[in-house]
Amino acid sequence: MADSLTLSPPKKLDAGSVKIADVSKTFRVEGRTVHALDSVSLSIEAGEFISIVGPSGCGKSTLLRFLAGLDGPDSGRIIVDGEAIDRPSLRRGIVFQDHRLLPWFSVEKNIGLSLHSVSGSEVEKRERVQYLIDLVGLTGFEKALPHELSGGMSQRAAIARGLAPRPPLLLLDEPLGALDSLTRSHLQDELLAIWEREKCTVVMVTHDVEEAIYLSDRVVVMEPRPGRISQIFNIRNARPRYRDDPEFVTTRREITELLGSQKKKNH
Amino acid sequence: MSDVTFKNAVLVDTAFDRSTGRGWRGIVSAPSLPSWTGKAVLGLVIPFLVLALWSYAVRQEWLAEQILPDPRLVYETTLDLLITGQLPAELAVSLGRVASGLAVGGGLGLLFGLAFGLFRPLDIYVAPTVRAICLVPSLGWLPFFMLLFGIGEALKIILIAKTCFLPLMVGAYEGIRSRPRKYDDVARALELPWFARVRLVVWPSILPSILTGVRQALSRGWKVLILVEMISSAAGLGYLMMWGRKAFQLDVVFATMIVIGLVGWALDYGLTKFQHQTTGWSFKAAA
Ligand SMILES: Nc1ncnc2c1ncn2[C@@H]1O[C@H](COP(=O)(O)OP(=O)(O)OP(=O)(O)O)[C@@H](O)[C@H]1O
Ligand SMILES: [Mg+2]
Repeated sequence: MADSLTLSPPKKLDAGSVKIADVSKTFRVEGRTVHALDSVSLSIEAGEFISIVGPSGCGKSTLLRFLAGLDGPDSGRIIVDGEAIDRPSLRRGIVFQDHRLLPWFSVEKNIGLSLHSVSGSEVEKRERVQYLIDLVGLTGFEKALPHELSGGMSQRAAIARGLAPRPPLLLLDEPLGALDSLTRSHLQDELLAIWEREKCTVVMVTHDVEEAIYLSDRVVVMEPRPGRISQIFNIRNARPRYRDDPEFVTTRREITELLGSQKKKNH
Repeated sequence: MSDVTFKNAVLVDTAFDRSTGRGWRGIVSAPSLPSWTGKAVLGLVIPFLVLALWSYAVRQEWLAEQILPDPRLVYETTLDLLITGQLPAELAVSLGRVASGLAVGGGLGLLFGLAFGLFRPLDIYVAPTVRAICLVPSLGWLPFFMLLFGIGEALKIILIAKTCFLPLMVGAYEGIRSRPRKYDDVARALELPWFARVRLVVWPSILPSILTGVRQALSRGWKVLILVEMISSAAGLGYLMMWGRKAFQLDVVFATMIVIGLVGWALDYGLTKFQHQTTGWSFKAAA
């Protein structure tokens, strides 16, 4: 639970393993049944960096919400570190697709909010918040309210909020979607550095195939109606990776072609 | 960084308006000149016009002097009432009444509104009755309340409380009903305990509509108070006004009218400022 978290770096190295077993979910939307997820199974080792790509509506956000424990599947099980998930936890940090900063709190307070239930002194927490604000490049905007930020700045604040409690499992829903390419590749490298330092498990949803290959150990490609995993790509290249590396380019083409063929099949 | 400077740049661009706009448009966009002094000056234009018309009407003797007193006389009477301490005393009485009425009625309204917003059965069974009761105007309750509570202090406070009840009930209710649910996910994901969730996530999201309720309650309560004081009272601004009428001292009546208007405006203005300070985000945040 919350009080087992501290602000100091993690000692356990094996936290953050995930087992998704046969997870299905249907929604009723305007009288029709939507198969958001159809028997999805996936095992993620502790410390892995996983990306999920797939067309809009294939259930990526739904799956991430399940991992966070915000919702539950109709059938199937999700197990994190040997325990079935039945509620949200600070051990599983989520960065929402829409940034969801509380509009009445400043950047500083929004990030600090994620440390509310974490043990540690006020000074420690303030330092941690400032460190993260600097990390995501929002220095000077500590007191700014969300409506005073651009879309990309809000997203960066949301990433800082997700990182603050040092969750062993970090769930990111298109965290870099609204950023310009320069900030984006900068934050990609930051994300990698954090992942290597904290030894956390990362599950990231993205629409950017290149980003997925650049960052991940494995890229999970999903397809819609019903939402399911169509193929998993292992990325074995050593980091740092280069986007013009022949292997990189080949993998990117394979994934892009797979996504393209899904599109044709579904229309 | 660049985003912010850009936004500022857009604001500065209103100078463009001023240079192209001629005549009326120029006057309208003038407040963008210096801070609040410009605004205050513009706000005083109409009152001065009214004052000029008033003086003119008195000089031309459009109305009898006993009906429309000379503005200078009203000014002197106001000063007199201020110096003798009568006006401040009556004002204090009135403000005290409106404050306690607002505290009691507004507090209850807030509680009822929150309860109706949170508990569906209460909303279905109880709310219609409460709303119907509230829709009978305050003065409609007066005869009954007079018999029940007499014409003492309690009557006034209860009547103001009754007036302040509805705006706060509606404000709190609407606040709860229309509050954005998506932040509940954030509260859950961050494992906020129940009290922190209410204090940091739920309360700030309904505060804007509660404060709007408070503003309405205050301005309605203020008006009702003056009416009640006119009907049955031995102190307060309404009483002073009634006394002026009975003594055929229309200068006193006018002085009180002006004070009532000014104080009412100041209360609302102060609350609006407070609202912008505490919940300014809600006027700007789109989502
Ligand atoms: N709360 C909900 N109620 C009803 N239907 C929902 C709900 N959440 C998701 N869905 C449906 O489930 C499907 C998958 O939604 P989801 O948000 O997981 O897609 P996604 O892969 O994240 O898409 P995107 O890339 O556009 O974010 C969609 O068809 C959507 O309509
Ligand atoms: Mg999504």
